[in-house]
Amino acid sequence: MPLAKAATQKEIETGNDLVDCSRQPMDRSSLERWELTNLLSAWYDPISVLGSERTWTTPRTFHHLAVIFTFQQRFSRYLVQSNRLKRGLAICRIGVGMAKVLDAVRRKQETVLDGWLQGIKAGIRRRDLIDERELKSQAAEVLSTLCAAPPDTPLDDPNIAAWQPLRDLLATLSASRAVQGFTPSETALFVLSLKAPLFTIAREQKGESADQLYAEITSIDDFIDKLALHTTDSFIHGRDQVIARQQEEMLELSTPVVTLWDGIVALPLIGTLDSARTQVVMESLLQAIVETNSRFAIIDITGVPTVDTLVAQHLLKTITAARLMGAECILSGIRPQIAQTIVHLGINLEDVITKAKLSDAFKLALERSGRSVTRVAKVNASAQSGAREL
Amino acid sequence: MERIPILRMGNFLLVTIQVDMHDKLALTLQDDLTAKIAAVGAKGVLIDISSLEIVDSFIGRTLANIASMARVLDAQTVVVGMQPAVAITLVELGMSLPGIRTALNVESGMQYLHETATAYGDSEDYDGDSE
Amino acid sequence: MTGTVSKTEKLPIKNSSDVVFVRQRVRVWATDLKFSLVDQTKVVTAASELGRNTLEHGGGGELEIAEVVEGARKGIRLSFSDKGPGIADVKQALTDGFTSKQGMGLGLGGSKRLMNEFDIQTAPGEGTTVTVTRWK
Repeated sequence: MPLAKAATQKEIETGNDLVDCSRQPMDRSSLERWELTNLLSAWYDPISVLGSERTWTTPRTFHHLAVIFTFQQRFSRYLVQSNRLKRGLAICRIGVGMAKVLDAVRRKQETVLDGWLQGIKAGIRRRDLIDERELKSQAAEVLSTLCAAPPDTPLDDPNIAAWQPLRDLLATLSASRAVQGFTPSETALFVLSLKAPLFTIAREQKGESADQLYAEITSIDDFIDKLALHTTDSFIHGRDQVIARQQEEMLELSTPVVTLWDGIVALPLIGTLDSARTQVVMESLLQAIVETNSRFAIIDITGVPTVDTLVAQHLLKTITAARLMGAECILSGIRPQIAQTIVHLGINLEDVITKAKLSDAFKLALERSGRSVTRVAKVNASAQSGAREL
Repeated sequence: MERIPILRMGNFLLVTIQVDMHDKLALTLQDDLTAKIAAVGAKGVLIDISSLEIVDSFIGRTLANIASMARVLDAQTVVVGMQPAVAITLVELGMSLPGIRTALNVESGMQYLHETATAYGDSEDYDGDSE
Repeated sequence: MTGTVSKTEKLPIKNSSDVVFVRQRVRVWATDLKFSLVDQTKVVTAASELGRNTLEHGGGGELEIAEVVEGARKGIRLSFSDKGPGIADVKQALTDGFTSKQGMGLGLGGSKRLMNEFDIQTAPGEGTTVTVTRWK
């Protein structure tokens, strides 16, 4: 043991002048001084010190050694029982160990890549969605980004700034996977398969205790888990965006305004009317009124399942806005249950013209705009439209 | 000070508001219009707000005042060309401008005035276009 | 009020032409933030209402326009402040139809309806600050 050896050297150096003293009884202070000098070496390895040339003859020395022994034993027990020092030492060792793993990954990128791809292929179910070459290039890109991190970056927390490029890359990859139609677990599997090759690398590191290996593996495990969760989150976010975009498109498609006649438009409403949809509905109706120069707008609510105070408010707002612009709104398609609800809720529809059927509303609009429908006598068998051009 | 020009078409007065009016300008318009209605004995006033991108409560009040004053002077008022965004905002603001007749554009506004301006008495009801 | 402020602009409100200028600047800000036409109209109208209030009831003051960001969404924040007499009864002032001067009394309550967030700090003799926000 190097320390003990140095002690004996020191012994020889300092003790040389005392060699002669040992032949004679030393006075207490010099003996104690000598012992103190060796106390440090005795701390680390009392046995080898004991086994050195210098014989410890004084009972006092023996006593000191005994004290040291006992103390050392107790202290070691304390160390084992309290994990503090052990953990502290372990963390220092891990930090060093992680950097070593990252280094090893850098050196053995190809091997890691192969191991990773094997793991991915074993788990992937949708081979048709992505071909092997693309998979390989994606994995290689992730691996090189991982290795491109600064050398001292610890491999424990993926949320620090140094790992930002890796996180961004994974977010992009998973968003594209979402669009391609992968499931979230397949996308997470892509990241999780990296664990196996990394564990292999960690184990290949020479000269490690089981504890340190365990610590390294749990650290890698944790890191990869967090990355996988981040990937899943990005995937879900990507999917949410697709859904939102589709919702928007559906919203636009579901509020068509039809022209029934010159200056008469109709808006058949289908589905529930919430605030967001009403805004869109209102805007498209008013825009259509301007574009078609229509004095009359028929809002048909046959397709609206329930009318509560909120829906009624939205309808009234639309009708008032149209009136401000110079168009008259007629509400039609009011089912008997809806009529009951409206009365029960005390909704005031006094200023609004209401009709049960859209045909009645249309007839009213025609009348108001100075037109009428007349029956024309049929001529022979040729099909002639019942209503002449008005 | 700038003034908003008031055009005369026979028995009717035509006003086109094209600028972002500040309050004083709106009040000046109010004064000018009432003076002119009385001066020429106009039977109808058409206010074109198709260029107005903002109608706040003050402008709304001014329009309502003009309509009331004109009515007292036996003239019918119609406000035309309100933009959809403006209409939606006014409704949200809580202004429904009851008592002001509206039309989609100058053409239908003039048509309305021709029809009602000769009617005496209560020609104010909303759905009372007798045609 | 939530959100972090990223850009601001201050405008004085001392006369009725200032109110017109306020409308124009708020319009520019709302357009830059890519609000829809209807939303732009709402924001500018609210600004016009509150600006006029600042001028007529507060004896003049100033407006601070700010762009706010909260997470993924952006918004516009308008803060009207004056050193006028303050509002004694805010609740009353917010009810439609209430007006202390000639008018329809829709300014305060109306602006609240046009915007997403509304905050008012006032006390008699201590001036008034009204802050409203609209999110995209």
